[in-house]
Amino acid sequence: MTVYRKIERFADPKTTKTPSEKAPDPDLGYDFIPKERYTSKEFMQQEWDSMWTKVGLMGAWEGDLKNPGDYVVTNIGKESIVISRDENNEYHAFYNVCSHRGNQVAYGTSGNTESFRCSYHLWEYNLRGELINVPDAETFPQGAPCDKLSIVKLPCEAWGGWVWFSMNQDVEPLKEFLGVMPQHFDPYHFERMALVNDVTVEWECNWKTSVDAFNETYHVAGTHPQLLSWLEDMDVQIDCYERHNRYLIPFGVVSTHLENGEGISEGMKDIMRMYGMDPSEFKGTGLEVRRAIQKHLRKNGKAMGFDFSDLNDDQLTDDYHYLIFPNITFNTHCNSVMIFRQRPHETDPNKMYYDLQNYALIPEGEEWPERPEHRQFAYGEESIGEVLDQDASNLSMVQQGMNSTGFRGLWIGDQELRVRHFHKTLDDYLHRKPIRWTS
Amino acid sequence: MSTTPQVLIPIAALGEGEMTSGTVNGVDVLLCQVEGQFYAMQDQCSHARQKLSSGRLRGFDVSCPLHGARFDVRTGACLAGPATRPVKTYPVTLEAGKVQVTVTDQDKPAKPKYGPFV
Repeated sequence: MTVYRKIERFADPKTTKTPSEKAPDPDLGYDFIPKERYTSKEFMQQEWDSMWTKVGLMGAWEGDLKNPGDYVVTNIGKESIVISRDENNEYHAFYNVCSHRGNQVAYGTSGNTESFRCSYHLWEYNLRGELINVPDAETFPQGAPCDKLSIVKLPCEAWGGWVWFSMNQDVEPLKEFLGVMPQHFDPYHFERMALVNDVTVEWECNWKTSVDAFNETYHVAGTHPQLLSWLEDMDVQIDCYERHNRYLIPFGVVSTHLENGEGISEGMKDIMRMYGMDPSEFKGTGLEVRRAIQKHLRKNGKAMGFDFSDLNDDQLTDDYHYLIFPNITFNTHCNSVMIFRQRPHETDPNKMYYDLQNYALIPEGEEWPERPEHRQFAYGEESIGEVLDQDASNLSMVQQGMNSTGFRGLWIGDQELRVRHFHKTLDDYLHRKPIRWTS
Repeated sequence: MSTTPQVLIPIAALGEGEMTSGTVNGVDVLLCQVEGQFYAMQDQCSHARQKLSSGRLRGFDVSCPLHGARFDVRTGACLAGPATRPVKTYPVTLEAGKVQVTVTDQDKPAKPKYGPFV
């Protein structure tokens, strides 16, 4: 496709708190990415053994853990994990499994409790997962020692408004795992954002098929042609960091793939309205909206109840889109963040769970909306918004293609560098040599 | 709420098996005549927002010009992917030689509530 112009950047690299400079592109070659990783049970097991059980994982929103006794149940692959807040306001993570016969001890997706009592034989655990009561303990001649039969705990730490955990007892500290991410995100002040949408969709594809779908803008012209009238899909800065990556998508501008940048589409008008501008009063072209929104928010943000002083001008309009390896995507905007979490299925590499959460910046002094109830449904049962529906509509077909004898593997171009970087990071985990404790 | 039917075209302007487009109450509308009946539906594919009136009409099926999703002009039902959701249809009345279509405010597409996409 012809590219008709460049997009101007307004972030000042000297003053921006979220780094804006381009990171050097890693040389990752141009080989096929093998298709078997999307379909093979052996590969799925390898991922579990060498990656999922080694990394840091997002577990719960801190807004769900405000009070002592609050807990969240989060599932990943075959595991169910409890994240709780104890009487001393400390967070804990432990497997959701009773040490007696293997029943679960925490039910539903969240709640508040003084202790976790197993529904099978009433073995009882405190908020730290420690066994505190065994009914008829004297009938266990071998003993039922509370110190030995407490639930296995997992490392957990909070950052950014979420509690993160790991199934790796020797995992590096969270800050180390996240690398440069906190420096990038902290200026957005996620703690000022309320959860306004919380759904899980069961998709008929591998979890990586879904991760890949959001890690390049090459698909916009084919999958989301309506977006070309109000966002940029080609002049997109890609930055790969050690294991995480991002791209910066200019919003509020007609795509450089379209020759005529004059028009103001309905989508463009929606963007203007969303930021408190009246499209009927705007006299410029489709190439001038982005800068106009930035100036408008810089001037009027405070009066609207928003403090954008830690953000650079481009952050006022653009999607700073991050992947925290392996499975958390942040679509970060000045007044909202949309988070995707891709979770592998318990047993089937051709299925996954897609968690979608939307957070909205609440104006200062305004009451927060009630937390929406979490809903889970199969693909196609409900819309999750036009754009995400379009992405989702490709996925089961792509997954079928991954299983086809006629498909050679993924042939990835430069616009898809983040896809290659993600798979390289995954490979690094899978082929990492275990630490040798003895010679 | 606007419920007034709006005249789109004279009956004679649209032949059998033909389609055209217009705007009613701010919504793009596809109008067609099949087997002597007039049908009106949202002129926007429920998958990628392309104008269905730029696609192809075969019998009661209209197909999207970009990815080929198909819809039944009588009901708006989705007949073939990649679309999964139907498109809205609107009541058509014929009066004094004119084709009239009614689009209520509720029929207008929803705007994103939280962030640009949702």
